[in-house]
Amino acid sequence: MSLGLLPGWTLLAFIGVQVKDVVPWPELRQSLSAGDPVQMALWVSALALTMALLCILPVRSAVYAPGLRGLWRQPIAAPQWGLVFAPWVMLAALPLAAVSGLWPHPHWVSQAIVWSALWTVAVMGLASLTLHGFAIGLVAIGALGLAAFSMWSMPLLAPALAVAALAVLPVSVGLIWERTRRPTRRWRPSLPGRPFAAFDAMVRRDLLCLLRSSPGVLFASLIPPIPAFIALVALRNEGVIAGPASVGAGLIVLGFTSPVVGSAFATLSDRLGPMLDPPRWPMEPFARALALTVLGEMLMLPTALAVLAAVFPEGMSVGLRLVLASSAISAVGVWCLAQNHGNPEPGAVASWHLLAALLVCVIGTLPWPWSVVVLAAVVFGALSDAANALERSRGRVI
Amino acid sequence: MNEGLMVAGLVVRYPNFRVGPVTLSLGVGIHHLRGDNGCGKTTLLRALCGDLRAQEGTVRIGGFDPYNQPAGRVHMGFAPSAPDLPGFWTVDEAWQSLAALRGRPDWDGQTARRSLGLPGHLRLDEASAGQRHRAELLAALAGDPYVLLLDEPMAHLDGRGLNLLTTWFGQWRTNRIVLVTTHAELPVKADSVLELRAGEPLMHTGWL
Repeated sequence: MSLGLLPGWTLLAFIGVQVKDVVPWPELRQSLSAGDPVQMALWVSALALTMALLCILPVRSAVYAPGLRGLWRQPIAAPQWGLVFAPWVMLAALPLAAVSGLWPHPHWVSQAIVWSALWTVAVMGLASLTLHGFAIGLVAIGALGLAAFSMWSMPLLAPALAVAALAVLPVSVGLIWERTRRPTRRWRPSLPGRPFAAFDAMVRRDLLCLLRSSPGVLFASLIPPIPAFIALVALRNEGVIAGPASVGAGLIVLGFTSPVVGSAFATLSDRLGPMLDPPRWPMEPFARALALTVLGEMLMLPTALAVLAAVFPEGMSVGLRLVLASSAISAVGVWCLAQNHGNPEPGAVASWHLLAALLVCVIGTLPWPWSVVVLAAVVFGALSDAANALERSRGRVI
Repeated sequence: MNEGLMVAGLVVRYPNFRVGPVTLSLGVGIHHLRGDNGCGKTTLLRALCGDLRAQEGTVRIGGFDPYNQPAGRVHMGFAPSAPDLPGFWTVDEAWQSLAALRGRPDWDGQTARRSLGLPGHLRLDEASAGQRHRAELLAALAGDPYVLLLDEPMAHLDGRGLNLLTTWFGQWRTNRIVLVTTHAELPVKADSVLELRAGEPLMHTGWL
């Protein structure tokens, strides 16, 4: 695990401890025990499937990482690959394992292991993007639901399912492994025209990188505006938000979009490495930071427009604050990226950016003139310091 | 542009390896930097183009400091021996972007591309080693830079590519500063030969 992720994990653990004291866990467990077992099992299956679908891209990025290409041609069989990959994938099942702790079972640790193992089988199968893989993935999710259901009536079923999961795991990993040996056709989206200036060339380069290597990151920016607009308009019509409250609601929605920017920058850091800001290319560090901010703004634009349209009747000052907040979220994303430039763990960019974006949202709720001044200062400060960080990393003797 | 490539007391120091001090004064022409494997040829070129920051000494390309004046790098093209342009770019996108970065967005690289036998729509990560190397060379030429730093430009080139490079060397001899590293002989007679040895000083002030 990267040291870069440690602050984020520490904060998460801190929040976990605080939540532990606030949430009435025993009562929650009791109410779950009293619930309908079938309904609860379906709920867990849906949660596990959503988590598995979200993990497809990261797992594929890890398995097909250029650094592992040298290993692909070595005489390593699928079960051995399973031993290497499964523990790391299983780490991502931590939230699911935590949910299993709420279930009415005396040995929730063993239950957490069963759920995690089945979930790992499902993720590896789904991530192979083959018909067989999808079948294995859906069966594993179904088995997970069955394991959840079995706690009410068939306590011995869960260990049996765990054994079955361990038996199927090599097959599941083998599917994704076989996929690496086949030549694949690539989707070739492109941008019209050619760059007309240095700034344009850098923005286009970064956009093409995302478009061709992780189009999902770009498409993800198109999803939040629709529910955001509907929710904000509904809340306004119901009279729940008005005046200052609409600013807070708009900022919360923008905050939800910030992971899109964070993951886009993390992807750029991962795909481009040192070529994110090649020292020999004739571009000032501040212009480079600005080009990245423009890219971040482009990703936030759909949600920002939806929020603006929803809160427009509240006046221009609200709109200005939202525009500045989206710029600030983008700029702090660039700052996180610049500070982590050269760090081999791109996930650190996304985790730091999430924390910074939350801070920006809090700043945005300050009274009217102050929020604008502070947000503008955040934009300028983040960009200046990002430029300094890029300057420092240029020409570093490596 | 009438100023040359000036290097004074350049030292790049690693924990157990050092290049320099290097003092150079190079003008228009073909300059052959040669030496054994691992003597620091690539390190020196990377320090000249701004990829590495030297611990000591100064570099001036066309009067600009490539470390502290990014605008000055528009006059310089570097073709590395290990290709490092992003693989998702096509050949056309690579040279068009580099031309725009060097302030010449209207630069026409189609003729050079055709001469190199490269398809414009070829993605760099799908190109063969030879094609990739040619694409790096084309990107170094984009925008018509005055100083060319070519690291092992003949590696991976077939007969046609070598003939073309020989022709280009003949043309560049009169209008560019070309610093070429190889450990073999160049296909043309160099205007000067610089012999780099590991850990030893290098001084060449033939052009002033």
